[in-house]
Amino acid sequence: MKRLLLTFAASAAALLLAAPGITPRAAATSLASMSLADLARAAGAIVRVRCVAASSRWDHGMIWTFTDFDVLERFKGAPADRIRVRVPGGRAGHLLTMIDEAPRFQTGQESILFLESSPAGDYSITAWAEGTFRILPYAGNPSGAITQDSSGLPVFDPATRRFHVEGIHNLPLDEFRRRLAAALAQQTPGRQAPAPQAQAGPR
Amino acid sequence: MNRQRSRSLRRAAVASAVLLSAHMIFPSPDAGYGLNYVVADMREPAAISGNTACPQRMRMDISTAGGVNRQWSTSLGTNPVSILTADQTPAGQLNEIESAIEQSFAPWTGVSGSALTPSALSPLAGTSVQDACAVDEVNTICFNQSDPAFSTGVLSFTRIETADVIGEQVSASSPPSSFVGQILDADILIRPGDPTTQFATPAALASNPTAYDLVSVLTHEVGHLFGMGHSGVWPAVMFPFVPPAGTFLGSRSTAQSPDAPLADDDRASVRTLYPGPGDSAYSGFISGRVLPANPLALSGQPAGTTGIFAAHVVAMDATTGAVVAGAVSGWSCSDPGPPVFDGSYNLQSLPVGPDQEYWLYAQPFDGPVETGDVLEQTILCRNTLTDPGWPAQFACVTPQPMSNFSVTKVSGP
Repeated sequence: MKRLLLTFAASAAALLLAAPGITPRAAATSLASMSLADLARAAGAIVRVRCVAASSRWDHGMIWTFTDFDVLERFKGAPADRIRVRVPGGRAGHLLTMIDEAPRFQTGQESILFLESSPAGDYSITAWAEGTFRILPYAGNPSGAITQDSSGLPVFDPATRRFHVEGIHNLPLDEFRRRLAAALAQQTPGRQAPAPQAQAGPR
Repeated sequence: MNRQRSRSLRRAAVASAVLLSAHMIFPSPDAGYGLNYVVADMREPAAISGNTACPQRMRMDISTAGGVNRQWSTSLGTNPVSILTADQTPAGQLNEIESAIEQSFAPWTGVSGSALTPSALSPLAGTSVQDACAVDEVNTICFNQSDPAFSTGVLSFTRIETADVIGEQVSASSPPSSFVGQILDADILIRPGDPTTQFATPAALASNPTAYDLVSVLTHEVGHLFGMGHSGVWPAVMFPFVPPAGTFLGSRSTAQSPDAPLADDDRASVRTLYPGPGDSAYSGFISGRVLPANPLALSGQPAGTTGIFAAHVVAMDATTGAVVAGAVSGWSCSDPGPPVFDGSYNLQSLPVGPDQEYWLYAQPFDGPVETGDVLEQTILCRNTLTDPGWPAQFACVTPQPMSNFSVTKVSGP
């Protein structure tokens, strides 16, 4: 007779600290694995934004979603106060185009985006889910915490029988700012990374 | 970790176990893992909406032999070469790449207990058209098509076209959809002309250790083509990240074991999405609910939310330690819908037998996670905000993933 055994595995703290038994990822099927420094180097603009509108339509022979953002803070580049970002996929009439790892945004949502200019004059997101970091309130971090889209799903490793997350996950915003500043400083010889503005986060 | 919270979660685990037993008799409607869904347009007449607001799985129509058409563009990037082959003759290159494509389909059509078999596929055709991956009814693989979707870091992607009504066409000449969620066109685009990114056929991989294994990449993308979403189980083929350059995971497909590259989680997804008629070996399921010990934890969620949304639930074979299946839990639906967010999970297509035992692991999503991050393009709810004029009786709001508590580990293996 089938028997069920149930356990909840891995504390949240362990989730944030441990990732044993996993072969280091070198590439995604869709995305090259990029560190924060890689992303910072590749992006022409890095901004903190708030989504103000999103709509989908046909363009270049396929359905795209165009999202307008108010720029709240600039970390790299000098984009306008309001920008438009194109992401492949969306809904047009009764047709839907679905592409995994292509981010979607809701009005009012805040994010930090790594952007590059698209040939059409708007922006695209560097490495899609990897270049998208959501800012959300979180009980452990009242000022907000940040999670990379590509690290949203807890990954189960049968070797350790634990869940873990990869990438930047639930990081205090100030700590993310510090890391980003350090990554940008690496690209600018002689530029010093600013001093941390907050205590180090859980990772 | 708060001791009281720890005790509460132990109780939640016990409560879930009780519910698991009940659901083994009365399965919850639907919550397959690693699959994508679409909600029908309920503003349309029942004849074309299907008359249900329950999310429908995206999948190919395999009701007719050869119904899944396939072609690939033989136009290859030469400056730089993006697809490396052992045979350098033009004909030999094409043969080697075509063989790699066939190797990428074979695992998905070789899973026992599934209706997705080689007979569902049309012969693989070739076209010399460079930009062959247009939105049409032809499922195409392109290696040399520049596409504005390729931002830095995007190596490849699969573009799926589906519809939220019956009778929709992707082009004037294409056949209409026969069910909601039918995949009408699926194109795989591999990044062209990038000096930092190369792919190698199995024969060329060993001598090109900085190249990615073409078959690994294509096998994952073909999974998307058939409707699979990403897996949170390592080392499933549908895990979002492929092996490091110069390597491949698991085993190559063979005539005797065509599905050798797949993990059991991949196989369970295929059997769930394309169930085999009369299959009894994989007819098991485990379903239940993941609940907060303190219902007040749900107070910030949309009305009607009675369980945790979302959690990653994994079933492990208690004897072998192999992960058999995983699912992102949190909802269920009974026709005519809409979905309810009751914390349900449903692991389907599991091996059955008198000595079959499973360990079940569950991890509620922690921290600030957006639904779309995890469920990717899956759509569970529509309402008047997303769709003006949406009928109130079919409206719902997808909760934000729970993030206001953490979990603890109780004794396990």
